[in-house]
Amino acid sequence: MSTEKSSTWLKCLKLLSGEIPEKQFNTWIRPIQSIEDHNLLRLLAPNEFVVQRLNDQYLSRIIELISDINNEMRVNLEVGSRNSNSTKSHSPYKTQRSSEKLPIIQSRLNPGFTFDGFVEGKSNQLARAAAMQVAENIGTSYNPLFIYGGVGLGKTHLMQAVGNALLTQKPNARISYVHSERFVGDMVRGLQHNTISDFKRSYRSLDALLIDDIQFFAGKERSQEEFFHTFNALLEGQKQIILTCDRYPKEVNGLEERLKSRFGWGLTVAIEPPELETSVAILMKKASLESIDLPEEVAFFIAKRIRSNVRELEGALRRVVANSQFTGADITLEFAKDALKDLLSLQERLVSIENIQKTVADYFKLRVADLLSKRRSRSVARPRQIAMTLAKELTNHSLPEIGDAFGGRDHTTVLHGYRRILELRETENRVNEDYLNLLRTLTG
Amino acid sequence: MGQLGLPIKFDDYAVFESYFPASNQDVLKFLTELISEKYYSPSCWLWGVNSSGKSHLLQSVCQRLRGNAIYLPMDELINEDPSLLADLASRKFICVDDIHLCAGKNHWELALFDLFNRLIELQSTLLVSSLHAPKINDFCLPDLTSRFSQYSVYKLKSMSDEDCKSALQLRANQRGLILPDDTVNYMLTHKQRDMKILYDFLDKLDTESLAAKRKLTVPFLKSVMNDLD
Repeated sequence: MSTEKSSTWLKCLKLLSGEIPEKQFNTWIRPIQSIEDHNLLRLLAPNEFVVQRLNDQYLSRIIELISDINNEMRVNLEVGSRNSNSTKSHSPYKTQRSSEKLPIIQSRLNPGFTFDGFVEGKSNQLARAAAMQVAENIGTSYNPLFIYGGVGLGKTHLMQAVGNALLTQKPNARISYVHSERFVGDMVRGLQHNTISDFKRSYRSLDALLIDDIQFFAGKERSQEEFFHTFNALLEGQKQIILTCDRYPKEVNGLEERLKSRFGWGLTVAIEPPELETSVAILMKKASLESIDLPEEVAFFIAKRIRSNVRELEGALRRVVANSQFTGADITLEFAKDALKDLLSLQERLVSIENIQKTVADYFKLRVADLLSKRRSRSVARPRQIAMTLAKELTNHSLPEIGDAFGGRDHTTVLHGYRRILELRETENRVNEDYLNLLRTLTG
Repeated sequence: MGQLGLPIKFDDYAVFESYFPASNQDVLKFLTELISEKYYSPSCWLWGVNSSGKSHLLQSVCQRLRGNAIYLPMDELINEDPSLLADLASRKFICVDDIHLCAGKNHWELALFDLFNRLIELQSTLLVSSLHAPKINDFCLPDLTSRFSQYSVYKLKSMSDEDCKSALQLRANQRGLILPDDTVNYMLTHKQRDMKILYDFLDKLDTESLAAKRKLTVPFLKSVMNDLD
């Protein structure tokens, strides 16, 4: 039996990479390991989640391609991992000698960021599953794990949850959470004070390196160079790397191509803004962690009005809780409304129907007049329906008022548009992405 | 690292005792809890129009905590090197006045962002003032906006005429002056309703009344105003 990568699988990978979009390929196909045993090709996926997705979308095509390469080969898809001990390292980087004294490392992990404290929803399900997988198989499942998404959606939380889980399993593990700005600062200081070799040694001796907001590396060539070598050294030594970014790696301007391509070697997962139910669950969880009695109607009230990110949700909750603690009053709906008066009036100013119409028109390169016109071509009707849906979701206007504001349309038209967009968000990625981008622009 | 070139001077009256909270009781309460360490928040963002008392509160915190806090007025520091923020995280409070002046200045935004991240590790607090709420402050770094939005954000509400009157009488009282109702009413109807201008005028009245050995009557007020014109 060969535990080296199967040559059949390598050929199949080559063919698949030409057929499947890069993002999907990196997410679902690249993490698969293979073992070829006579005429059996065992494909090892890191978890059930991936097996499920492969079964649903890619397995039939994989079987076709394998059979074109070798028509006697059978394929078996299962959860598992090749024995990492048997992989041969060809690292050009020196490994740490065991007798050498390792530099002291501060983990800088916030102990509050755990998997238990992370509320799962549709918007972050995949990222959470991947992070848990990494925590269970450090360095061997998805490496690097690249989490991207807008600000305040929980990227740092998930990343640190992996670090904290690892520390629980191995209290002596050398883990470092560092913001990319700090990495750059440490490097500059190393260069200034002639201690760059200490800097290199300390980062390259880690079991797990967690770097937040790598978009800040953009344009910093020397730091990218240093990070590139650190990255390679850690990866070769099967040490875990987790990175976060505010966008998909390929979209970060000013980042070297070789880094972008390496970021895609492991798994790239997105976190989206939370849906209403997840926002409510987050508020209830935060409140319960602080032993605060938060009525569900108050959680719904806050979550409905603050849709952009979790940080702002937390900010609103903190304000209500602080006011309640300082005044000794119970948290009721009226109390919350009063405590958040300033914040919400600001929100309402930002999210008016007029502002929604203008933002949507700009986004789709239309004129506001087009949205209000009688034109029914899809290029106008779809943006109009999205704008009406956003108006229904983000403002307190009634359906007849929204209809009026959209060129005097009937409230049933608004309702129809709203339902249509709900359906399309489930079935068409593009519509869902447009909707989420606009939601973020209007509330972020 | 950059150094603070000039010693920053505080306004003598910028202490909690001379702050008239009017409708901003919640802010005052919050700050009091924060500096007495009964409550921790990595940041607190105070916003409001000019002369709503933002600098007064920030300076009050610094005067109360002395060496444990530092006051950074951005109108004086915006042209300095932001690396001066690099080693400040060990202070319990870093008070940045007029933070809106940093918006759009990448090097300042990055330095503030880095400072914010360090403060959380060290359990210190970044207390800032701005003309706007974080969301409409036009930072280029969305992370900076969202970090400030995560913690305490308070709007300083403007004072009503009745509040202005009480605030001026409190300040006069602290100077050992008696400011009768009719005099303060006259001030409010004939001067701009800007607390900084009104307080400066009160300073002027104090000096003039001492020199002329006169009480703060409406006729005396009129004569000082005529002299100023």
